[in-house]
Amino acid sequence: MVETILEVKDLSVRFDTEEGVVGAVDRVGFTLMRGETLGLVGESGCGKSVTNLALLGLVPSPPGKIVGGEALYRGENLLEMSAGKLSRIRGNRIAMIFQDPMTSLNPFMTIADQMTEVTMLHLRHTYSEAIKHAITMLGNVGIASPESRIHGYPHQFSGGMRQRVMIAMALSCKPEILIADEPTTALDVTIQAQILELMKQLQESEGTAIIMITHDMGVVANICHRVHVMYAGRIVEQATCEELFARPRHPYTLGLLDSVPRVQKSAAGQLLAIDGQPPDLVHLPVGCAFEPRCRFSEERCLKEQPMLREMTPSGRAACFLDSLDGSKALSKETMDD
Amino acid sequence: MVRFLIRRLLWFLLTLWTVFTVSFFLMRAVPGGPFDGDRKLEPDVKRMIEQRYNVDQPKWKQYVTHLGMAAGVLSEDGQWRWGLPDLGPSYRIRDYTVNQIIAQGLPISAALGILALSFGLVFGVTAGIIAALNRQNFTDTGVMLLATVGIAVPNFWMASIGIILFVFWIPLLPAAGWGSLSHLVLPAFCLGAPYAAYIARLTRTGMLEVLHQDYIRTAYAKGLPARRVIMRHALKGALLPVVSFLGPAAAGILTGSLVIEKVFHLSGTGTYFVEAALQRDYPLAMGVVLVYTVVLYTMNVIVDISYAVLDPRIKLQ
Amino acid sequence: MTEPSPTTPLLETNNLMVYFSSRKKWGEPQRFIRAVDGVSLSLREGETLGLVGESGCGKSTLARAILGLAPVTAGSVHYRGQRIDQFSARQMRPLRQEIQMIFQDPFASLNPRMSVGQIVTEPMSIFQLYSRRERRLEAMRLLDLVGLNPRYMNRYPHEFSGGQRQRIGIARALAVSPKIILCDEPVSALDVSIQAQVINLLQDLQQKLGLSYLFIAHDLAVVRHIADRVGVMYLGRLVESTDTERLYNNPQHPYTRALLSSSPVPDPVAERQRTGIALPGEIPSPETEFPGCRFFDRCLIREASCQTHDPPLEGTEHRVACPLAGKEIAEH
Repeated sequence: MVETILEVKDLSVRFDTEEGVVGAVDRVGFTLMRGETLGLVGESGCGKSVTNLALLGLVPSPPGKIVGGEALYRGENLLEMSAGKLSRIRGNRIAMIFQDPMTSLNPFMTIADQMTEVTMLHLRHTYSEAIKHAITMLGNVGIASPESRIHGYPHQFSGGMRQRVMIAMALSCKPEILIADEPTTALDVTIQAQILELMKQLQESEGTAIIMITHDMGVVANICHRVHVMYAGRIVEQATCEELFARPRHPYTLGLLDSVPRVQKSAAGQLLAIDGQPPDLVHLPVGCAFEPRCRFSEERCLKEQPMLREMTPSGRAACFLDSLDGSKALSKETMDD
Repeated sequence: MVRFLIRRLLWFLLTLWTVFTVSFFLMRAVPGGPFDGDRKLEPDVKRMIEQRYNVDQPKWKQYVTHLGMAAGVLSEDGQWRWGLPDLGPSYRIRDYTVNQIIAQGLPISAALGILALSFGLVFGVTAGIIAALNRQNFTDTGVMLLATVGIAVPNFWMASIGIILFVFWIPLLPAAGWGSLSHLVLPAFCLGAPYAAYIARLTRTGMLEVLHQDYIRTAYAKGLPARRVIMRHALKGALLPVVSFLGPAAAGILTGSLVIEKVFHLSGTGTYFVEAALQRDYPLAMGVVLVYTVVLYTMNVIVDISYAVLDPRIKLQ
Repeated sequence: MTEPSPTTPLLETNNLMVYFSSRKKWGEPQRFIRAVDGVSLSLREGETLGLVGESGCGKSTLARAILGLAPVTAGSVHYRGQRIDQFSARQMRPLRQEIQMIFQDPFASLNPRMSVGQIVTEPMSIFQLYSRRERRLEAMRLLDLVGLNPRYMNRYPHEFSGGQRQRIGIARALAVSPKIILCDEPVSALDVSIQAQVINLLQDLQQKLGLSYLFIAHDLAVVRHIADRVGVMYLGRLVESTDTERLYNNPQHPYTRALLSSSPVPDPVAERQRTGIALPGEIPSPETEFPGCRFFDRCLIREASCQTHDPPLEGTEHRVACPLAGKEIAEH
């Protein structure tokens, strides 16, 4: 019934920087099912964006380099595909939208030129077919009077409208996979709600699978079916959305959930912040990368790197602990104070 | 657009008048006159010559006459007329008016300049793109080294080398003179080389900056082949710095180059630029200055318009 | 000048307006960008006043106008009962010691060529506080206070992470022992886990030093957590203002209600059950002139009269600028 359309195994990406080798993505693996929304959550520098850029061969190289792994799409490894073949998939079968709609559209070209070139390239549309198709797409994403607005330039659109244009452009070849890299982060709350709603509607009508890259737990809860949490270049927890929020299995996930203030809960003293600083990717510890900030850390965590292991039938976490006891968490917190 | 052009035209007239006035009085403020040669003239002869050229009149009167003539509303003897600007007779080149001298020299300088500039643009932009795409490898280093040499080497030296190579060793081109296109190839190359080098550097920098923009990543994510991303998405933005350089560059190059014109025996306006000033040939110097102003101003307006054409966010004011 | 009484708010704005003239087009009447258009609010000693709203609502301009960094078109600003909006730059100087500001982007607001020690001691030397020697000691004390190792005195901003830079910014603001800190989106550029640290720090400091905060943010959850009272802004206007609990439990203005229901909650069960009031349309340009309510175009409970009647902010404890406040939103 559920069909896997993308399978990533042991993907590793490195960056050679002046400070040293950065292991931006370290043995990341996941599967994507047809029509689902998979959340990839983590903070800046955790490797969530690089993972997806690597799938489409968009990691800037140098300094970036894919050092291992495979990404199987329809049985073919995207990472070893020829440039020509990969570019026939990019924007056609796998499309991508980015965080900042202000800078992601070319300011020098009309919306019409930017949209038509995609379908003229991949679907062999003539210009008049392409423009007709683009106008339909713009209408679908809720842009009023698309016939006239399509000839405008990006700077004549608001941020929310530009993101709608990006979505229309990404979906214009009916891709099987849409990679959305923080698509609502730069938008206002009410506009964010509109865009998330739009993505859900389009997924329903088109059956597109979405990889949603975000740092916002609220967005995850709103749109994702399954969630993978990343920390320091690795996946530390995989679970269904309900499971993840109801019973996080990795201390980092727990920390993330605890540290977000809730709009529907009144303030009760301090937030349970995760102590310490984000990891330095050049000098990662031998053991668990989260150990220095973990409230549950044990002797073993210092020496050994925990591997992802099955916690529930649908959930895996990279932690030695079998469960995160709520009381223990709190007592450790008060002890630290 | 129309309002922009009208405004620019008004400013243009004001600029020309200012340039005229300032040059007029500055030139005459320098001690010495056009007819104070090494050989002392008989006072009577000098007076007669001065009378012929109206130099004996008070400065303000000369100014009014010359301004009127340049504006096309006065004739040399102070009569009203309606016609083309008249810059008067040259003091030094006998029997020629400044208009005639410029009409003769400007086409040569302009033809040479246009050729040199086209050469500079084509080579510069191509080299810049190639360098940017091969950033920090051998090609990039090579192209940029060449560009630095191109800027650093004085063009009379490059001209001499060019003549030795293509005239004497491999006799492909004529050494000097004016007549056919082949006469212009070598001088245009020598004149355009430093511009090509500078344009290459500008293009490379502009290109590298644009290639880091998010919308380039979007273009690749759309599946566009690299060539198309570069030519369609990146080039426009990368060329903006080149375009703003082209304004003053074109003005300089079109009005002639003393060195190149001397070396290749071309009688363009470049030669007169220096000589007129040294010999106190007031009308000729003024003519050259005005021509330069007109070309510079026109080029700048063209640059502004091209900016607005290239970048839709820019509105002409 | 009136003597400040105990009930006088520390900081107060009365019908404050900040207009910027937009570029005049030939043959058209002069237009104005009404960045702040008649805002009255007050900040009491030791409290946190949250100011929420989307981009372009004028919340940052308001903060800048209070500090005299944006021109006040009309209305007034009072500090301890004293009118300060017409102060000259020289008169304003001592007030800069009382009112400090921290910014959204901690990297852009720290001079990259100054060491942390120089950054933190600079305000002290501007106001000639302490002796030269004491300044260094004081800076080290402040770094410790904001949770940074005092040994970092000689390091430069680029050596720190975003959260640490914001701590440096806070230490710099505290260097002159201010009474009020205007916080302009102080945590929105930070990672989630670091956000919580900085919020906790700000709360800690408030308790220890008795500071008052004007806390500007677009994140409603953060504001709920930190603020005692909240004002909601839309297109230069304050549309609702009351105690935090009252606002979040019983929002009245249709815009506040839409904002609250638009902000996603980290709880999938709640998210799926939510009957979201997706607010239609976009924020109009602040240049637009409105004969009536400026929220009219996007409002879900509007009536015909709203288009011509500009609703004032009414009420005492719970001020709302909407005569239809609280009206049931029809399903659509």
